[in-house]
Amino acid sequence: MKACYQLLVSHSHFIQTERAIGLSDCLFSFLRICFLSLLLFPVAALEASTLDQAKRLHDRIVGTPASAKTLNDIAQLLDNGQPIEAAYKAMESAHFYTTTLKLFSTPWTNEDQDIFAPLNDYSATIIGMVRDDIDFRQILQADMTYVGEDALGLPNYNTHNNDHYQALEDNFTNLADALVSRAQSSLNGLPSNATAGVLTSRAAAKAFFNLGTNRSMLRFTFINHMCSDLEPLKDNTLSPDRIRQDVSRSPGGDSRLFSNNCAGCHTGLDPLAQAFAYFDYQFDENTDPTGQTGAISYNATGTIDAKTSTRVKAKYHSNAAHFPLGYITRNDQWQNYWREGVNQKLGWDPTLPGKGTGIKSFGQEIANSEAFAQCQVKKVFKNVCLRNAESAADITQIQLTTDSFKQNSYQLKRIFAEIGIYCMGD
Amino acid sequence: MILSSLLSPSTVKMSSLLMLVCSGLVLTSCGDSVVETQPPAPIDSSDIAYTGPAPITEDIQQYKTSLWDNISRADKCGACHTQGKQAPYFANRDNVNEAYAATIDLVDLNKPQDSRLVEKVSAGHNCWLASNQACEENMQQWIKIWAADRVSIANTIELQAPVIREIGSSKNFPSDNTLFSRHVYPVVTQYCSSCHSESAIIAQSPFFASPNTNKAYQAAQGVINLDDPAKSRLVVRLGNEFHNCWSDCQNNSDTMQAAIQLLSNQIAADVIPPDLVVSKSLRLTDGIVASGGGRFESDIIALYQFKTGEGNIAYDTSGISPEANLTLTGDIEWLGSWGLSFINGKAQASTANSKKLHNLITATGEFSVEAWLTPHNVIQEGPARIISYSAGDNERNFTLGQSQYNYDFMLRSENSTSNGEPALSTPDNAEVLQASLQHVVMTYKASEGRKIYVNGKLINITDEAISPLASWDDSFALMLGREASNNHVWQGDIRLLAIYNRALTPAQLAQNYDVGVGERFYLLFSISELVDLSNTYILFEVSQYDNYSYLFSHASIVNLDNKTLVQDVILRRMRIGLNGKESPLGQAYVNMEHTIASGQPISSPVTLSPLGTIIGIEKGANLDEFFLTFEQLGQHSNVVIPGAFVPEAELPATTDSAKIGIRNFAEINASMSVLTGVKQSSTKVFDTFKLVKQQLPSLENIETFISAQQMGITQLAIAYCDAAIEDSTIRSAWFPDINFSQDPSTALNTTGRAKLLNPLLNKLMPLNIASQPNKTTVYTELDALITKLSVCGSRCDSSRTSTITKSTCAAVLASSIMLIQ
Repeated sequence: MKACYQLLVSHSHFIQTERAIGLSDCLFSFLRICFLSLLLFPVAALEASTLDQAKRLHDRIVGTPASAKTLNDIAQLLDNGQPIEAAYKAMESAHFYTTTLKLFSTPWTNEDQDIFAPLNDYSATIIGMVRDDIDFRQILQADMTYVGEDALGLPNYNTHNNDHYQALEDNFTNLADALVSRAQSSLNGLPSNATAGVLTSRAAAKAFFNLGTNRSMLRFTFINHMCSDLEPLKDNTLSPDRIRQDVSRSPGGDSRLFSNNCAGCHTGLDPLAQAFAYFDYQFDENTDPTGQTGAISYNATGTIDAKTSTRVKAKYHSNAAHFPLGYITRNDQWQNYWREGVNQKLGWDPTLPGKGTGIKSFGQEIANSEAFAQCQVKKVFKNVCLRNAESAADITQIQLTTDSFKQNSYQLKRIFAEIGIYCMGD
Repeated sequence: MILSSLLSPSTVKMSSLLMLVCSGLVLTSCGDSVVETQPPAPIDSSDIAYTGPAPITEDIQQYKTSLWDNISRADKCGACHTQGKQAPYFANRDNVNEAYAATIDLVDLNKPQDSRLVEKVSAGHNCWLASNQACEENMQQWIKIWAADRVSIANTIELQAPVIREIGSSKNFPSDNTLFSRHVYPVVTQYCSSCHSESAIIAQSPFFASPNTNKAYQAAQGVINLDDPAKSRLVVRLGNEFHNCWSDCQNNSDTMQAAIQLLSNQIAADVIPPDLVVSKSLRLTDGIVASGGGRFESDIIALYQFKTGEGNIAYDTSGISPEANLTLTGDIEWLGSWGLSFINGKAQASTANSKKLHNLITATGEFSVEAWLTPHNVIQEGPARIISYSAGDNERNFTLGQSQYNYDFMLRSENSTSNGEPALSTPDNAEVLQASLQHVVMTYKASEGRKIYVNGKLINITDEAISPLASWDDSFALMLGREASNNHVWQGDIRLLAIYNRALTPAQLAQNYDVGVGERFYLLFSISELVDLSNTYILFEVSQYDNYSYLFSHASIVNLDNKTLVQDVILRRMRIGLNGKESPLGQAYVNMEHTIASGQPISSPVTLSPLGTIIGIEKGANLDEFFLTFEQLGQHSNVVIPGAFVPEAELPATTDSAKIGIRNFAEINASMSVLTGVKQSSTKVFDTFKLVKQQLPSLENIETFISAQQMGITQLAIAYCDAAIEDSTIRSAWFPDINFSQDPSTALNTTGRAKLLNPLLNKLMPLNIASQPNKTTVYTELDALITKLSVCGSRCDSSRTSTITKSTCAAVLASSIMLIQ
């Protein structure tokens, strides 16, 4: 009823401002329809008919209303005891890709987690890989980027701008049909073994390799794909031996801050973020201060940074005077310290070594964790059920779907189907 | 044992400042004015005017001006050690040449710090100041000035076998959580579980208030100090840091401490577990002092090392009279690591003694101010006065200030204001100033203007107002921490301040940066028994880093008997222990693994790690006892096997959200397009969508819905309905039986309305779905709406039919029929 009250308020305001155009009467009607709708919902939520279930299943997965025929088809499948098929029927809608998945992935592509951001190579690759039922773990590892097909006559993919994807968005292109897969290395020039799916997309580089120390790539990878910011992962009992020189051990003259706060994250963060040591996002700070025309940059074999005298980007040696006795990064050999201590809870794959060289093996480490799989389910749960897990049954369903996700080759559509069914009402 | 690799190269070049300034009056041309300057302020000799024979050698002259003129005064050694009083007569006032002969055995010109004169005053023998430390520093500095180039280039240090201590006992956490559950857990679950529990809405690690008691107990061990409950983080966070107190912080802190005390009282002190492979232990003061050597200090005219550690005076130990000692007022704390921490206080010299700065700097026309400092934050501005030679908010000779991330160098010169403006500031974008320990030097000389160096590097800024010093006022005072007016407070730590009347060269200031600041010790942890080789040690350089931690660095292995290991020794996973237990934090050497080969030379320290780490102070620098543990050292091993990890059960959120939601902006746009058949790219709707996009809901949570969003939805619905009805293809397909060229009374009569409303509702709310409004009721409502809109007098032409249709369409399209999912 609170929502209805808000609608009432909004409506009253609308009447005052729009009286001049003579639409107040139609809005009264709108309001009364609102009330009629909301009064019916509590009953419907408890005892949904198959059609109701079909409508909610479609609404939540696709984002748009279904036609009568589609609703009947879905209802029929539900009646036939084929709920997964019913959900996949809903996902035949282009809006599942163009609307739902685009909105689903867009906040991952920028630091502000802005859902209004335009389509880019990060979100397009997510959409394409889901459409093609590619193992979702590949989003963090593959030499793969989705682009608009050549026949569309779009601006070419360009490492220095987003024009290609902006055109796809501006044209309201049907992403269910228009996206095609390309080797990312053929587009951005990275060596194939230095590509890592969306992590090495232009959008991710622009957002997370931009200035700074590259730690934000680690942080936002965890936020977006492990469903955890760094704060809940704090563990200052681990060794600080890989914490870089730029982290003051006595910020403001108080080393307790380092020991009890900073170290909690940096003990694990810094050795993991070493995977990105050869990456940067380069742009002209004078002519393009926000980096709109920047591009991902990688020190391939043989490229030596003038400041570090290694392939390591200069940013990894910034502010070295803060603690000269700190760790000096000389390569991109990462190690996952969070395989010990409280962050074993993330469920690391015991068949992997927990350390490696470069971003691709880092992506593999993340993508093969239990937390990664569970995070995808939690995100879909939030997207489809419009809430987080609020009961033991919800928790159980998330775990069941996580198991199913892993057993079904990490196909994200499968999660949408199972969670959509769970939240379509009884 | 000679240690040559651990100290920075140094060249103490003590040129004779007094020789320079005693060479006569110096005239400096400053434009139209001539500033007459003086040599160093003369010793007040009202009671000791020397009338004896002149110094017979140049060294005796140097001795006289550097040392004798200072110590022979009646208020210092001259009160006793003069002819006929207390031997030795090194303060003889009758004959400086005889005094020189008596003094020469009491000083070590190579190592002034080892001089007998220094040792005596250091021990408190008739120290003329309130601080023995300050007397020691002054005596040492006078001898250094006399010795000049004879001072040893002290880049070596002699290591000596330390005292052998066995490891003391301490309290440890029992494996069972019963005591914790009884005493501490009830407190933390009552007051801390809103955050420090994994089931909290915003979960905040560590989870010592977890619903899982075992998990809470594990987490709590990192924030409880059994040996000293008052130093538990749980207590300190409340009492000292005011962290989320639930009522009065001190009372809350006391409550927490009492609970921990009860826990501690029932735990017996343990000795170090016998399985551990451990070195012998040491206290900091068992170490060999490593500090002091190597700084470039020629032309120094004021020096503050802040070693006193207590009282309200910070001594100028430059050896250049008069000592411009600083009087401390306000909120200032001494740092155990040598230094002052300014909260809201001021350290100020008298104007009379500050005058030496004026005299000596205007004599040369150049100067440097060197400081090791730690700004407490990067938000203070004003500029906040770090070091200032000034008289008020708008009158200064020079100032080092802070404006957020910038250092500011204000200087009174020929072209500046009396406030030293324009200031030379480090660039905004560079964010040079950080809230960490920094070595800051500002230099000035007339030909080059002002320069600022941070951590040994010149900051790339151009002094746009190069001009000679002018109009310096000798009535100003040197002050730290805030302005003479007590305004412009600076918050931060100053650990060393040196003022020179020369502009330091980049090499000179880089040398001082490399030397570092504060007192450092070499600690030799004996591992002789573990490797079966006498006098074998793990060597650490240890210093007090700030008031809360020690800094351990330069780990190496060394043998003092010039012997080598008889067999290979594997050294794995070394940890630092403190007061009978391994430190829970800061174990930077735990992943270390080395093999020291038999026969490998270890008579000079062999580096084990380039890393440094900080270990929290517990009982204080004089009481804390350190040791090392190893998982393997030679034939001894104690492999630590981590406890089995018990994954925590995930807990559901405690919220109860609505089971329905609203569509967001893109879903609304797409839904309206699907329902009306109008393409999203249609110009009219595209423009409207661009206009209202940010106004539409971005979240699907129905609780977030606000009226402004409904405004946007309605505008977009009108655009879509308008486009649909104006599009003859869509319109005729959707409403094939309505004649839009007729006026409403005809087109929308009873029959016509059914031809409008049935197709409308069949498309916008297909089928009969229980969660949608009752179609008959909606029909009735819309029918009434059309009736109202059809009363239109003279305006009832055929266009009114389209308008009514659009309005009716929008009434449904903008409603919850579309919005709610």
